[in-house]
Amino acid sequence: MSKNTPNIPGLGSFFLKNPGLFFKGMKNQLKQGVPMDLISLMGDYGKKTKKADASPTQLVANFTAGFPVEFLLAFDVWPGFPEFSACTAGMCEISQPLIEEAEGMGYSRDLCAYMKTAIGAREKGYPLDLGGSPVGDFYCGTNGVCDTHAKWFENEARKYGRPYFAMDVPCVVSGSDEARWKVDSDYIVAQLYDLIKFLEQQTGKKFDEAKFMNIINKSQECNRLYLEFFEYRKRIPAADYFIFMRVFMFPVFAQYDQDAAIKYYQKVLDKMKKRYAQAPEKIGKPEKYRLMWEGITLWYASDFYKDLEKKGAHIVYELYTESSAFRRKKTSSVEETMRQMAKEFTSATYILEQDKRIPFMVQKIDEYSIDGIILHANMSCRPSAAGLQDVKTEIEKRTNKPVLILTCDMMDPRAFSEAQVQNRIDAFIEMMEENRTQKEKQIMSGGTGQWQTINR
Amino acid sequence: MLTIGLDIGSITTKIAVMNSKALIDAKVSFTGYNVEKAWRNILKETLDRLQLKESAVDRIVATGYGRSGVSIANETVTEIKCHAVGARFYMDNVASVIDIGGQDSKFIRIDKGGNVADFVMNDKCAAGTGRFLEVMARALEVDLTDFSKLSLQARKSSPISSMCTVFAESEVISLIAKGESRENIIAGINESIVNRLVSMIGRSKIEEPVVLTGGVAQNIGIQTALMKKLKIKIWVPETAQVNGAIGAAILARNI
Ligand code: SF4
Repeated sequence: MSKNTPNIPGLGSFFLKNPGLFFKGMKNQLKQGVPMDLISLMGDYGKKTKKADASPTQLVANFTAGFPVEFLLAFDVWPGFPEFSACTAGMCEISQPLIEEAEGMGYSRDLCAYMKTAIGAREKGYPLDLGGSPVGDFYCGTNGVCDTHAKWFENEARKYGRPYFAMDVPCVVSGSDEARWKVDSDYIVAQLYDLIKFLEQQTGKKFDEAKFMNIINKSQECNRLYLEFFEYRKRIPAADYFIFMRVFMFPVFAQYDQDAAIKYYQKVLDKMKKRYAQAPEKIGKPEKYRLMWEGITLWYASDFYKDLEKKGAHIVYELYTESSAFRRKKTSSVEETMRQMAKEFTSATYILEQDKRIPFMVQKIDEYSIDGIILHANMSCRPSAAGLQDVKTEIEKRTNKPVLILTCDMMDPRAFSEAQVQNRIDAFIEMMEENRTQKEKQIMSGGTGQWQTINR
Repeated sequence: MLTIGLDIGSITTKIAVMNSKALIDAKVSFTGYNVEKAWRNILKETLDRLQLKESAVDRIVATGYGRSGVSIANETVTEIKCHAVGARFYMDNVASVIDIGGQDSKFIRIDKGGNVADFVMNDKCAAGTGRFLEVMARALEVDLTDFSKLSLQARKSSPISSMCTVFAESEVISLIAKGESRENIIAGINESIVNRLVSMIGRSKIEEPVVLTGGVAQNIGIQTALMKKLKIKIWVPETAQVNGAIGAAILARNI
């Protein structure tokens, strides 16, 4: 297969044309406070992606979240991940003009801002470090998480004249219908066999089962270690918070260098083991309120999370980061792995139906000693914004903890009004405080005022 | 004990002076672009009028959007909590507060213990707030006091459907051009505000008694439309506009 990938613009030439944007992006990336070893792991992905993009022989396939990336690795195809690039632009706080660029092309305000950021960055010629992504030699998308993925990649593939493999995951509302399970599972597994054929065609290589299973084993190990870290987040004080987790989840998501990811996660866990074997309460930050967050993070608003922490409110659990772990169960054959994948695609935490999602959250509230819950009503992401009002009502009823719905956007700062958000957060913190101390009972006594009634 | 509550809103600044039992004085002024000037002026004027020195004040609590700019405040508290406490001052069993401020409208549910149990606010849009009314009053060349009463003379209400304040203004202008009466248009505007409020309240749970607060609370057209739509009785304190400042002054007693 001949490769015809245009190169992603280099950081140097971008800097010469846009020094202001370059410095803004770099400064904002640095202020995330991501530890050096994780930065270098991600930097390595960037470097290798650029190299793959420039190489005349290395194939690059763009994939969406939820797609079984291990198949690409088994064929030595480099995984390009435009959503990750979009997150980078978000962290650099430069996503808005990119979104506007895409809207100028006709994408509506209501469409996924990840997609618009990635498209805008491509159109404006942004380098990888600031949100750009390679044009894939081919595209692999799935509607498993969201139908946007499927359409986004279909459009890209058509625009650049590249092949597209679309994996259709039946919308069964997360395994609610067990009777259909066998049919759905067969349907997905058949598509995974088609995927193997597709990759054989694209690469001219034969599928190597042993190599694939080796990759799957490593993927499972990576996921196991990643999930083990969550155990330490249950501790008080927690191992770490959302602003770290949103970057910490990247190696398990992209799986591009499994050995490095396993080594990194193992190192972090070893550190945690030591830390909690000593006196953890003396090491961590004081946690006045422990929070749960549901929905995607606000990539452009690291200051928001830091402010929360300054107020003593720490996000110790998110369904979103936990759901980025996929291969959770050991498997020993290709067929078994495919069946397991089918199960995972249709029952990911992220797309749980309400009847399962609410008890799941209630259980997590207990496990993580949560004081309050923030639900992110994400303006441009339908899957993560749907059903939040019911979640709020039910969780309040079942746990008696305050639940705040915050209407923002993961990537579009136009949907984030600082003063309004602060006001809601402050009131939410006051409610958690009231919950705890019940102090106001004594304060709020009265009944002495004058009245004017208007319903005569 | 003498305490002061300062509520720095997006349009108006409110002050309430209280002793340990009662409200001594309250006043409203425009906030303008300089928050510090706004609260310093209203504080000075009020203390001068009461012939008090600043040193006589035991504690100050600031609330509202500009609360963090009040450097002399002993504490800052959100207007959600302040409105709940302020409403409790008048009615100790109040269960729900609807506050319509300059750029925010909010619904606050209060539990049996008097704590804020839940709140919802308008999101990303000034429609359904005081600012919306101001824009509409300007388009109709009516001052806000007349605006309040005129809707009661309406024969029917002309529906305003636009979600956006600016587009709603264009809608109003086209209704004027069509010869629709001012009274009917105002009734339509009130109805559109109330519709938005009611759908916001639907996200929580309204329970009686209900108190209406904020600058818009005195608008008789809004009061009437709200009661009609919610089919419940609504109570409006005479000091509805300074309710948040009263709450702040009460909270100042206990910090
Ligand atoms: S799930 Fe949300 S963020 Fe992800 S692609 Fe769909 S709309 Fe975008």
